[in-house]
Amino acid sequence: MIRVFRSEWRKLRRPTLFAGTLGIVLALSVLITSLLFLLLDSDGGNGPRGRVITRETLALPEGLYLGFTNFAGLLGTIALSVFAAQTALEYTNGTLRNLLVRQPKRLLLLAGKYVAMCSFALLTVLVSAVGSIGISLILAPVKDVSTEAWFSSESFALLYSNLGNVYLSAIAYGTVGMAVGILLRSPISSIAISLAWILILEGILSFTVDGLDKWLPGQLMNLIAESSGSDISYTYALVGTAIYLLLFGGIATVLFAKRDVSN
Amino acid sequence: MSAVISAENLTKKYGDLVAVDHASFDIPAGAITGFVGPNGAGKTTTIRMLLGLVRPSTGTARILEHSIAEPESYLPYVGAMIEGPAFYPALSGRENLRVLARLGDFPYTRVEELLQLVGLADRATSKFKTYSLGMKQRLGIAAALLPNPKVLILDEPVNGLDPAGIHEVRNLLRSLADSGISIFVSSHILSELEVIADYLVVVDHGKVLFQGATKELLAAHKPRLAVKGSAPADITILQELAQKAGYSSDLINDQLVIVAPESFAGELNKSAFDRGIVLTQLQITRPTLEESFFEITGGEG
Repeated sequence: MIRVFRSEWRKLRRPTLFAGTLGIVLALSVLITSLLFLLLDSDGGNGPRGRVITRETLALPEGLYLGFTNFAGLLGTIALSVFAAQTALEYTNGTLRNLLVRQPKRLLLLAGKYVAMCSFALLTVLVSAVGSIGISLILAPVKDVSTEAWFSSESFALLYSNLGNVYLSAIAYGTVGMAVGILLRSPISSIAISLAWILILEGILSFTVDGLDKWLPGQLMNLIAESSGSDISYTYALVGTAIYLLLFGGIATVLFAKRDVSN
Repeated sequence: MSAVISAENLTKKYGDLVAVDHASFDIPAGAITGFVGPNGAGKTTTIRMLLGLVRPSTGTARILEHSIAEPESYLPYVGAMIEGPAFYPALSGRENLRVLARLGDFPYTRVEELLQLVGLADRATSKFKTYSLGMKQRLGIAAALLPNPKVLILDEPVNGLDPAGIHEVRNLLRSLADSGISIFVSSHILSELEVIADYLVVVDHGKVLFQGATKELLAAHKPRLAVKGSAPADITILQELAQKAGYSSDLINDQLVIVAPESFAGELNKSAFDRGIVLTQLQITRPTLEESFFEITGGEG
């Protein structure tokens, strides 16, 4: 398992993927958090979907992490893309056959790849947290946001739960990406279909059909990251997501273990 | 000679299509065995089954005494390049080998040795996507050699190589075989296998048509004697002499081509001399692997 993990990391650390992804994550987390502060008094709102987040809300202990949690959905789609591409590319490049000759235990290979990608996702979450928290600390005095509560013990406790929830959400997105990558064996199709479903179709469905949110995997994964602010409970989102992941992950694992490698 | 690979009724069906049809063969140890067949004959599918990538529909095979149902028991001793070199385009040659070295728990010093061996040391840091086809093939061979294998399985290793590259690969395979590695190499370039293969397994439409020593296959088909006398009328007499000795002949252009063993050449020369014919041409042509192959498969030569 450790060998597979380290082997996978040799691919993950290639500059275009590693520096490219982390660079984008850092830039976007800084941008989204900056907008949260810079548009504080804007009539159009400063939060996602035009929501207004006031100075008073930002001054709460969780205010330090609001920009970071707002970025969670995007982090999830980045994780989904990386997991899907890294998995499906093994099929399109034909490299899966090389890997299986060197590590014929397919489940071990899959598990090692998964853990390696989860560690990569952790890095993206940490980088975005550093970017978002850093820019929050810089912009708060500029926009007259009180930071007193940010340095309370409550705030530090929230840091861990926020990081954990955003990470769980990213892993859930990534797992979906990996499962679709195995299923479709094409990075472009895997990413396009997954994102079209989660970002577009689910968005339309949840707006048009009342109460459908609680059945849609993308909505549930987002709720894990946000951990509040919805009439669907955190536990419900967690259990619902786990059921979806068991289903997707189970199908993908069986396919990976049993399917002939013909390309 | 013991068998390092032994297939027994190996069969793979995709719906109604039978890609490999009850293939049974033995690959001897310490030799180069050619796996010959036209495109679509089932060579790659057979190789994939041997490497545990494709499950046989029926039948089985053993590699180094282990069943192919347990690839983890023999693959640490097997090197393989299947259907051309497949690597990560954005990684360098060295990084690509290191990915596999890490996975198989081989030291990085082995990677450097192999880059040197296949002549890629000076391009080791270049991305794989910038390599020429010949360089890609050589990197594929290096990857196959990573475990210092007892058995090397190569699928079309000289595809796309220029004559110098083919010559290099040929010498490399010969030296590897001489060092005790058993090599199973598929190719549709028959002239290449004729030069390097000690043994052959010939397949067509998924079936094994021949297995045995290369010289055995070539010896099974008689050579041809192309003869010509000084006068045009000599052809009739020469044809008569061949017929009398029990050999068939054909007039091709202005030569008489007789299908006969090499020993008949001297006999024919003497008989022609006795009949007052001076031979201006007596050329022995041995059958090529290609001709023997087409004779076995019933294809066009």
